[in-house]
This record gives sequence, structure tokens and C-alpha cells, in this order.
Amino acid sequence: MQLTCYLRRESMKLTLLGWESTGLRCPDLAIDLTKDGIAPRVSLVQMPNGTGKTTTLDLIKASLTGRALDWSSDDVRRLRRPGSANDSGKFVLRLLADSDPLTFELSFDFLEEKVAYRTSWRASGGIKDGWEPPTEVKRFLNDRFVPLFIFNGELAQDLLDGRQAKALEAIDALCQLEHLDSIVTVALEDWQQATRNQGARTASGLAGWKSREERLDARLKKVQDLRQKLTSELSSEEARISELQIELNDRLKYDHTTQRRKEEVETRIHSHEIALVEKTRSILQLIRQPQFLSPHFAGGLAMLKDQFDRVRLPERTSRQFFVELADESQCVCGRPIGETERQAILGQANNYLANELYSFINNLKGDINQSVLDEPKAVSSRIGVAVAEQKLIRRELSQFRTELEQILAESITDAGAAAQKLAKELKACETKRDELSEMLAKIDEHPDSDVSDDSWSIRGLQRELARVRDMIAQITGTVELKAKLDVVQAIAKRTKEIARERLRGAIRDDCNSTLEKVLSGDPIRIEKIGNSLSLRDQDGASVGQTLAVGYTFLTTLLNRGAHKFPLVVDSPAGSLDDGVRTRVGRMIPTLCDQFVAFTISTERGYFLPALEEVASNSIVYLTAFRTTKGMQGVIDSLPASAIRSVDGAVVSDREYFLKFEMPQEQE
Amino acid sequence: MSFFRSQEMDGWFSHLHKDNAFEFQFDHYYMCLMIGFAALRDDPLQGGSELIRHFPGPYSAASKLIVGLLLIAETKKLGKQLSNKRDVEFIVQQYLESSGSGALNDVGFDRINNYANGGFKYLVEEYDDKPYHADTFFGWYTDRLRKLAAESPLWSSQKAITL
Repeated sequence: MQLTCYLRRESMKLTLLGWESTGLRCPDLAIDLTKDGIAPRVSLVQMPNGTGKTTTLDLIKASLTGRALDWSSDDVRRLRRPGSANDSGKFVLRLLADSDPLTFELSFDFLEEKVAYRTSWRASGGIKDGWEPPTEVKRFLNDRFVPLFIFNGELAQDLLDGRQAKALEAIDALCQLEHLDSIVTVALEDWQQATRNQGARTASGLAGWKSREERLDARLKKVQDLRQKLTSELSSEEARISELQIELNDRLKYDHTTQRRKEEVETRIHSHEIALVEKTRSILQLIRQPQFLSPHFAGGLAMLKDQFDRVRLPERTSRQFFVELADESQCVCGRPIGETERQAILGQANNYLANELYSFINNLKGDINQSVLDEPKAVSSRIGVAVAEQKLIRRELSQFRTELEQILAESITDAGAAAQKLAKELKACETKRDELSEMLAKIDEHPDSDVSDDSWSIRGLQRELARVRDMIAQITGTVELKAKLDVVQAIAKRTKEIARERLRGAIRDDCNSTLEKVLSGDPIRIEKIGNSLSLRDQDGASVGQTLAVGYTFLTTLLNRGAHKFPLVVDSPAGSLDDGVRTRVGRMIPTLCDQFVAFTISTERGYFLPALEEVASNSIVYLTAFRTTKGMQGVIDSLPASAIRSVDGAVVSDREYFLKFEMPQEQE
Repeated sequence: MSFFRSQEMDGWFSHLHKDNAFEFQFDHYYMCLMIGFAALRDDPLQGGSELIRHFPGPYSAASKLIVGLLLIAETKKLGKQLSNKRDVEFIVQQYLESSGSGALNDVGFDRINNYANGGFKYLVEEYDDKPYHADTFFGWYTDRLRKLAAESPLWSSQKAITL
């Protein structure tokens, strides 16, 4: 393997020109993002809810990543147009790779429940079966990187979620820090080659260890791949759950009293969840002080202090006094100190403790005084009270959750078959999400002491593999080479840490200077980039702030790379305050070469004027929707320029875009 | 010498990290140690992995009290008397660095690690499965520890001071 392949830095600009879908869950639409043959800086695609925005975004991502090859029959079936007799469907994504047209085509066979790719790129000789993107950008077209430039507001939320490592993953994905791991792979292969060249002397014992190494290595790679796949599936499942929750909520109707009670219960659940976390933390703070854990521990410590006092510890004189005195020529009483006296004094010294030990006893007595004897006494222990309060919070939380479930179950029953179907699908998605989370927890588990070849624990497999390789090194006499491999591994690991640290600092500074401009009246700033983004002097951020911070972080990241990618965002302004909309609207066109936004009509206010202020001459306005019976009024008033299909319509016109208002579509 | 813990310890506590309950792996060690003290159970730690060389920040205030509990437990184990000055000096000298700032010496670390290991073994034996939620586990843990100390011949002989 040549290291040079990792060091190439070709740059390439990807531009999204449009897409076309036929026979799929989303309506048949041909979306052209170009204006006079050129993709403008901003493309706005107005798609009301129910037009298949999420499906379209999933298809765009699948086209770019080649991931559809891993889809299950269920995944493929889910994309078939509901109620359609079509046996096939197609999605075509059109791009420019620099100035060369690049096309990905996904063909769906709903009878076989399979999907196949075709790639068209002039530089590689035209149309090819399979997913074959240009080499220069292929390493970016994966599940880790693509969601950084095709995303929704959830990613911005996740970036600030301390339980996830999205910010760190984003930096790693962009800066391709995994190439450092590839350097280790090269060194590892060299060492493995050296161990293969051993003679018969070591062959018998070695064969067993080498075979174990192969099994562990293969297993580790398999589990790592699986982890990536499960993470991606989990992310899709969570997106689908959010989508279903919104759809379901839109269908549920509550009378005034139930609505009020539902909101009240939801508020209580939220406040109880926060209270439970806080109470648990406060209990840990108490647990960390042993005197609170048990009245008998506190009593034992008080007794210890009492005993120190009784036996008069610490002494006023320490061992050092006698040791130093023995070095003198004259005693404190004035008598000379000869060898006999010196030995007697040193003998006496052994009856005393060192200064430091007396000092420790003194400090311990002080701590017992302060933490036990001076502490206010209670009838019930503080921990006991806190645990009882925690139990109460948990019980109430459980009651509120049950009540909310009942309210929802009743309204789902009242809302009819469509809502019940959605609820059923939601439940199935939640079950799948839980299964995926459980599997990932198993993979991320800390290792047990004995790790078998079929372990699921990545850490366990890594540890066992290291042990087996050490053993192979000893048998083959390649200990020195193995030591060098360990050094390379250590250097790669440390380099990765240093690179991450420096990148985090630089990206944080860049983000903060952008935030100063974007949110000039708002003090929100990034304090630290760890696994996630931590905000300065704040435990959380409003939805608007979160989205603004997320945009800033991602666009800052994308701007640092040698390649240029379009920024595709679902509902870019949906949750932003009016003021933030204006500032974000002005910011986005300056941060990327191509911005494609999926919007709904309610997002236009404040956001659109701000976008037009910065990129007025370079915006494409598209309005696309599903043509159903309930939409007859809108269909009848379509302009002549509208392009219609069997179940959809697209209008490319600014005035139509601005005036378009559509009632909630009823399917 | 350092604080060492059983290699299984972090795995056993791993689910609690989803609740963001713990900030330090030392929290696991400490919770096992306190159970080891309460039950007066010390199981020799074979192998184990190094955790840290000193008490981490959140424990610096309680570090001497923790060592104090070790001294009480060891006095009992060795059949010594705290009312005897020479016994007390022996114990202190036996477990603490004489040249440092009263930190544990090798023998002290060895003993404290065994108590933590004994406490961990106790938790594994007594708790159903692994702990999955901090709120339920902390309740069980504090109840059990109080009960263990109250039933222990060593601790129950001490005057109970409720704080």
C-alpha cells in the first residue's frame, strides 16, 4: 500500500443541478435548480408537508453515498408509491463535478424489492453500472460526511447534545483524520509480513496465534462496519420517528379540556425529567462524602478523632526532632552528645512518627471536626431524604407518562384508521430504534476480562488483538519491529489527538467570529468543542440559537476543506426567531457556493428578504406539490409555465413562490 | 502505586453513563470501595487496570475521611486497638507515605484496592444484572450500604451520627 494515496489533495467542486423521481413514494417531479443553465448561489424549493420532502432528501443522500445497496426489502418497499401498481421506480440525481456532468441513477425493482445504481461521468468513460463516483470525491461520499452538507435542524440539535459525539465526528469526517489510522494499517501489514517469513522453528505454536489474530481482526472490522451501519440506521429511524410524530400530531384532534390537560401533563413530564436528573446528580454529590453515606461511618470517624485525642496524637515532637538532635554535638540540656548518646537518641526517634504523618493526623482530625462534628445533625439522613424525593419524582413522572399515553391512545382511536396506521408505524419504528440502541450499547460496552473471538465489544476485541500480536511478536522474534509498530500507533494516536485539539480550537475561534456577526445582539458563543459543542455560560440554547450555531459550525467546517459541496437544508428557517432569520438569511449565501433549501410557505417571512438582500440575482424559486383531489383549487390556478406529472406539479417563478399558500394537504 | 480496579468494573457500570450520572471512572471505584468498607470485604485484586494515582478533584475534600475509614477497617482486620497509641501509630505508619503528604503508600494502596474489589464483587453478586438507570441504582445502593454498615460488627459498634 502506498502512503502517497493518502496525501493527495486534489480539489473538486460538486454542484447540485437537480433531480427527477418517478413511481416512488414522493410525487413524480423533475426539479431543475439551474437558471440559464447555471446553478445559482441559492435555490429555494418550496414543498408543502406531504410532498415527500424527507423521502426526496433520503434519495439524494442515497444517490450520493451508494448506501441503497445495503437497503433491506422493507426499505425498498417503503419507497414504493402507496396504492400504486408500478413494478418499478427511478430517481435520478444530476450534479456537476467541477464542469463535468455527473449523474447517479437509482432503479427500483419493486417485484424483486431491489435497487440498482448507474453512474454517468464523462471523465470515467460515460455510463457505468453501479455506484462509481469520481475518485477525488469518493472518500467524502459516505454516511459520515454527506449528512454534514445535507441536513435538517436535528443535526444542529445533535451537535450540542453532550450524549452524542456529532461535533467530533464532523471534524473527523471533514479533516479525514482516519488517514492516520491507514498509516498504522500500512505499518501493521509490514509487521504481519515479517511474522509470516518465519521458519519451521516457530511454525507450530505460531500458526494457532496467527489464525487467532486473523479471526479477531476480521471480527473487529466486521463489528466496526456494523457499528457504522447501525448508527446510520439509528439516525434514519430517529428522523422517521420525528416525521411520524409530526404527521400523527397533525391528525390528532383534542377538545379544549383535553388539549389543556395534555399540555399540562407534557409540561409536568418535562419538568420532572429535569428534576430527576438534577436530583440524581445531587445524590451523587452526597454519596461522594462518606460521612453522609452511613450514620455509622460518621460515628466511626468521630470515634477515630476521639481516639487520636485520647492517645494524644499527634505528638508535639516528631521523629525529625530526634534525628536532627542526634546530629548535634550538644544536647538541648547542654550535655555533650557522644556515640552512645547518639544511638540512644536515634533509638528513641523510632518511637515517634514522621512530621508528615503527624500533619496528616492533624488534617484528618480537622476534616472530621468540620465534616462530622460541626455538621448540623439531622433526624433523617440527607441522602435518605434526597433518595425519597427522587423516588417521589420518579413515581410522579411515571404517572404523568401513563396519563399522556392514555390521552394519546384515546385521541388516536378517535382520529380514525389513518392515524391508527401512523401510530402503529411509529410504534414499530420506536421498537426498531430501541433494538438498534441496544445493539450499539453492546458494541460500545467496556470489555469483560475474557474476550472471545465472537465478542461484540470493539474495545474488548482491540485489547485481545493487541495481546495476541504481542504474543506473535515474542514467538517470531519480531519484538523490536512490533515495538516500532507500537510507536507508530502511539504517534498516530497522539497526532490525531493533537490535530483534533488544534482543529477544535481553530474552528471554535472561526465560529465565534462568525457568530459575532450573525448573532450580534446575542451573547451566545462556543466555549469548547469536545465531543459536542459547549456554549459559553449556558446550559442550553433556544431552538433558533441552536440552529444558528449549527449552521455556523457546519459551514465553517465545509469552508475549511479543499473541496466544495452544496449545502442542502431542510426547513432552514422553521424554528428561527424573526431577528435570527434575518441574520441567518444574510449569512448563508456568504458561507457557501451553493445553498439549496427545502422550505414551506411559513418560512418565507424575514428569511427570504434577507436572502434576496445578499443574493438577489442568483436565486431560483421553485414550488412543488402533490396534485391530489383536495388540491383542485390550487391545480386550477396553476400558471401556464407549470410542469405537471401524474401526481405532482412544479412551478419555477418568483411571484408564484411568494404568493403560494396551501391548506394542509389531506391524503 | 495507584488506585487499581478490576477490569470488569467499568463494564458493569457502563450503562449508567447514558444517564450522564458519572463524571469520573473513580466514581465507580469509590462506590465499590464504600461497599467494601461497609461489608468489611476485601478480595485480593489479581491484575486489574490502573485508574489514577491520587484522589481526583471532587474527592479531594473527602480524601482524608476515606483514608480514615481505611484505618478504622484495617485496625479491626489486624486485631489492633485504636485506644492503643502504639497500635494507631503502627497502622498509620503501615499504610501512609512517611515522606509525602500523608498519601497512601504501596501497602495502603494494595489494601484499599482490595476493599474496592471486594465491594465490586459484592455488588455483582447482590445486584440483579447490571445497573441501567442511575436514579434506581443510587436508591438501592444507599439503602444497601446503610443496612450493611448497621449490621456490621465493626460499624454497628460505633455511635450513629445522622447527617
